[in-house]
Amino acid sequence: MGLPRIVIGPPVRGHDLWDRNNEVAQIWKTLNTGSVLLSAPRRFGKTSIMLSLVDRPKEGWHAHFLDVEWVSGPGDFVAEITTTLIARYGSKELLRKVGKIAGRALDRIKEVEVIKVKLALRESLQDEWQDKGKALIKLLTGIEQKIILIVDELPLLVLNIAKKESPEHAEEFLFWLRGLRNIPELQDKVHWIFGGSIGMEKVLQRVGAGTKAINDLYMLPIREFSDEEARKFVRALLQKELGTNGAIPQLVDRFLRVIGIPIPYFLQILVRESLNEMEREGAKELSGEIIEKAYQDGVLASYNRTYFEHYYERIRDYYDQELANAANALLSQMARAGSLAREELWNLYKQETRGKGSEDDFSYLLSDLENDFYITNDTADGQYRFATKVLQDWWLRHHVA
Amino acid sequence: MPRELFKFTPALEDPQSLKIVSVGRTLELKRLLQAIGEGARRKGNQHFLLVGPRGIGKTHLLLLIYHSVKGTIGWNDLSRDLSSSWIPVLFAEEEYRITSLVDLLLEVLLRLREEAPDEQLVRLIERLEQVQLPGEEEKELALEYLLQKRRKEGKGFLLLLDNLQDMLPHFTQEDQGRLRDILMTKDIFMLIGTAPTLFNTVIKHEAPFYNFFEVIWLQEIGEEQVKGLIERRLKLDGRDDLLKKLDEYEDRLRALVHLTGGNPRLILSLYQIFTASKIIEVERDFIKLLDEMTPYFQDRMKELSPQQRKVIDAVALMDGPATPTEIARFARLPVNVTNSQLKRLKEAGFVKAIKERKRRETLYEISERLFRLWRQMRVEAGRRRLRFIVRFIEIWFTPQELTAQLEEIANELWAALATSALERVKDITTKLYYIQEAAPPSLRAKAHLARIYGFAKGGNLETAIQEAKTFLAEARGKDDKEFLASALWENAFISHEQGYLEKTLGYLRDYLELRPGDADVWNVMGITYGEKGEYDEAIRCYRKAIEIKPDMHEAWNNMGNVYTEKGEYDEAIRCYENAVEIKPDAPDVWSAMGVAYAKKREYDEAIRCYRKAVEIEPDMQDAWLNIGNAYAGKGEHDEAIAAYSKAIDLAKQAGAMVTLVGSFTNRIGSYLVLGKYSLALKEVKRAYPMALELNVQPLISATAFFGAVATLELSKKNAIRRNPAKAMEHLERALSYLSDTPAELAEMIIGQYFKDLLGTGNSAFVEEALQVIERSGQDNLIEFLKPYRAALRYMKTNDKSVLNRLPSEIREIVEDMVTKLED
Repeated sequence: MGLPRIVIGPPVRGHDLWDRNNEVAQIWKTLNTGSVLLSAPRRFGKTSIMLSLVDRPKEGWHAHFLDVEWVSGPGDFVAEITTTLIARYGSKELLRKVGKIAGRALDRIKEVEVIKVKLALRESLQDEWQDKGKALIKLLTGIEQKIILIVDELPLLVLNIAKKESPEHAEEFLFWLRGLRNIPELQDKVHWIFGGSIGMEKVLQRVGAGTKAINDLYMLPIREFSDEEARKFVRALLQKELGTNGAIPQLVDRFLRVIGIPIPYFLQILVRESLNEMEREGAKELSGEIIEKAYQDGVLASYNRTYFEHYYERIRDYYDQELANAANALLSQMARAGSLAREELWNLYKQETRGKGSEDDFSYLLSDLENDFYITNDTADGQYRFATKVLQDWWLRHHVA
Repeated sequence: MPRELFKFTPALEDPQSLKIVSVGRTLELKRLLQAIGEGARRKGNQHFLLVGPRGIGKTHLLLLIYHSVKGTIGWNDLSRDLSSSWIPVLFAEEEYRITSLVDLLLEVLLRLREEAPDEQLVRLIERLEQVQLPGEEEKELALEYLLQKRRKEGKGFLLLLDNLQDMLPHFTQEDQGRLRDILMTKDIFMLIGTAPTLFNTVIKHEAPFYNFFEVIWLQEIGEEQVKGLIERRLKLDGRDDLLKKLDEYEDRLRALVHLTGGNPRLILSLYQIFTASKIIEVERDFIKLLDEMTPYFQDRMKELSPQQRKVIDAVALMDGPATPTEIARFARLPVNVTNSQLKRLKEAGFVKAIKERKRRETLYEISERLFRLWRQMRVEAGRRRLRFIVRFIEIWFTPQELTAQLEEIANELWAALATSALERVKDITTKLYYIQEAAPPSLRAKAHLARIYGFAKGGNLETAIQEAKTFLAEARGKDDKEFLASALWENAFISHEQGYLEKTLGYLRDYLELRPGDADVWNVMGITYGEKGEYDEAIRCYRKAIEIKPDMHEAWNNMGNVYTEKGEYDEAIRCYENAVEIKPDAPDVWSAMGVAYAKKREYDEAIRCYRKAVEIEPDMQDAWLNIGNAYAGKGEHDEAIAAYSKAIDLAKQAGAMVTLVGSFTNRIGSYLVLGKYSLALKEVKRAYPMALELNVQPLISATAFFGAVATLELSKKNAIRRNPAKAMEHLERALSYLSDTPAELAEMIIGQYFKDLLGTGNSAFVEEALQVIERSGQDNLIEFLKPYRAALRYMKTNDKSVLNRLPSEIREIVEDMVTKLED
């Protein structure tokens, strides 16, 4: 197996994707019987996993990836899917069928002019996208292979529809999708994988859809690496960058200790910052001190605030003033203390809301913070702590007075 | 001479030069080239955003990458063969046309057409260019072409986008998402962008490009690297003279780093000042740059609350890093408020904290140097020039070097004034401002004076007056006699330029109270008195100057001139003799002495002096003219003519029109005396129009007079030879000259003319001549010639009653005329 590069930001492909075999295997297993919703915060590797299915599908399967963040509505969504399929499987016959559904004579379009098909479909699907869309997706039954439609950033698409049209339309779209998944002749043929970096539950709440819209999906969380895999990963990165064969175990452990939960993205950032620090100091070898310095002066530096600042801003954007203050207070205290019991958080909450907040509101807030990957509840000791050490350190440095 | 730096347009620098002067970016370049190389071998690309303040070298780095990938320059193994996997497409600093994804894709196609067109591409572009508002279809067509090209040739497109913050936010959310999708999944592009700061499109969580790029922060370069940069630049520019001294410049380099914050652009700009004295050019370029950045910086300021703006302003306008207490005082804010705002500003990247050894408190300064310059410029616009450049000159040049610079610039100023290159004069006075502001007090006054002089003589007297006034006010407020004396001297000069002689004398008196031993100023006072006509006072001042400085030949010369004006030529000559004893090679003095002798009619002595003058300065045309005059005074007109001819030649070469016409005129006079009327007339035909053009009345009168004399003589001769037609022709020409001749002289010569004609007995011609004059309309002549008309009538008829009918005064004239003729 080739060594992975440090890739910060975009999804990784091929050898750069490390240790997701279990997740991939789990996905394939689930796809046999249903569809999947991948959930994880941003930067956990969802899109990379999705793309690996496209790059290395199982025999008898074809996977198609769609990033729908930029799609403006249900009609465009269907047009995108249809065009992708025409591009892959396009034949005169298929074009004729598509054209009949869309009410356009598409078979005169040359096969290579997929663009024209897309534009024609977009126009046609502005109205009656539900029925036409269903009919178009049903055409997939004519294809030999099993199809996986991988839809990344579905929550964002739903939010876009809610914003541009209405929450009702967004809800309608979600239930239409659910409907598609339940069409008998499609169930074995077309499988879905959805992914989203903002919590799907929150989105459902905002559009008033409720969990029914997605309760047929298998929720597969994408977690951080296991410690063992994380060590292997870091070793591989260092080997790739420094050419050393087997980085000193203590150093590798240092990386893990510094970062805390071994999220691949942050591991890469720390390795990158450590290498930068090495170069700056002109050091010939990596050391624990360099790693620490890279973490404190690099990863947590204010110039790298883009990694974390959205966590702070999101609270300001999503909650009203009082609730935002309460959330900030809870997180600040948690950052100081390391972990807090529910009782302690509740007391703090009451204090911040001057006794006005209800226990239900408090529970919702905690639940939100968990779902949005700020905090986690350790079932072992019942304590709440930051979901990642990095976030805690960041919060402590920049948002605790 | 250093090559043009193109520091603000690195794209215009040739690739090899870019490589040579590249310092402090090896790590970044290595990282990027590595990533580009890896991207060629694997699926999935890392995309980068290079972030750093303006002038830090982002564009430079982008260009290095461009050329490295193209293969124009090489960097060891890293850049080898990249051109086989990538087609670099560079978008320079301002790409205002790109506001959407389709714009970007179309521009990529256009660049490809420039570099490597193929038939399909050409046809595609032709098709796309026909669409006025490109949309979805065009976007997909462009993308499809690029995909196909990628598949066919196996090369990806390396998009190098400068100032991404100006481009990406203008894309719709949809376009941004689409671009991200393309970058993530289509595997055709690798994107390396630059931006001065992170911007919402990459920071905001909900934005498509949130955390999408690996951010490479370009930091300011340190002292060693600054030295390296300057060293390389000096080598490139062939400045071995400065290269040798570079090690001596350690302290200056340190100060330069501190001043510029290690910003390469600023450093290279200032480089131009210390290598080529290009203060004006640097100022101009800075102002242009800062103007261009105004919208960007204004936007940044809008992000801040009013209190934050106050704090930022204070930090920007203070002279260097400052403590929160100092900043609070400057900003007129409470310290705790300032502290808290500083923290926020630090988080946002506006300021940075500096921990200096031996100081407990943290100091703060502006992160982006150019922002600081911008604020200073905006606040001080119109009142002061760029303080930044002043600071640089202060730290870079020693007082000795500044003195040398001042001398050099002063020489430039004199040269520019001599050729009336007024724009150049303006530039030089600007240069002098910076020297003046940066100079130590002893030099400041000199620089200021040179500036005043430049303003006054360069056509900007108002500014000179204002500046001199301000300088004087400042000087009066200081307890510094030298400074005050300089200011008084300046104001004396300015008053003199305005023609206020009494005021000039006032300032000079005040000056002399402070510095009574300044012989030069006594001399100048003497000149001023002389201009006022107060010759005795002038002489007193000159004597004082000489008393202080006995070898002051200027004072002796000036005193001589005053005596000449007074008519005391012997005294004048004595003074001139003293002057030439001190300075024998002063042609002006010899010439002035000659004039004094000529006034005494001692022409031999005058000639001796003039010849001495031309011996020293052979081209002294006035001296040659005077030699001519002296010979003419002696009656040696042939010698006079020779001297005048020399004067004429020299005057022509020098374009000295007055001397030229004067010499012509005097030569005509000598020709007339020698009876060479035709030659004289030939000269008149040249000199008279010149005199008219010059509009110098004495010259016009003189040439006209000589013209009249010559033509009347020729007319008379022809009349005697019984050639009436020719005689009449000359007479008519004479009339035109007579109209510009002074009346008395005109009457004299026309009177003599008719007397002589009457004497010939050719009454028919005389009659005709009288009629011509009577027809000419020159009433003064007609009136004057009445007796001649009467005389003629009498001579024709011999009728005494003609005489009896005349008024008595005319009768007397006529009788006298007739008697003389009969005799």
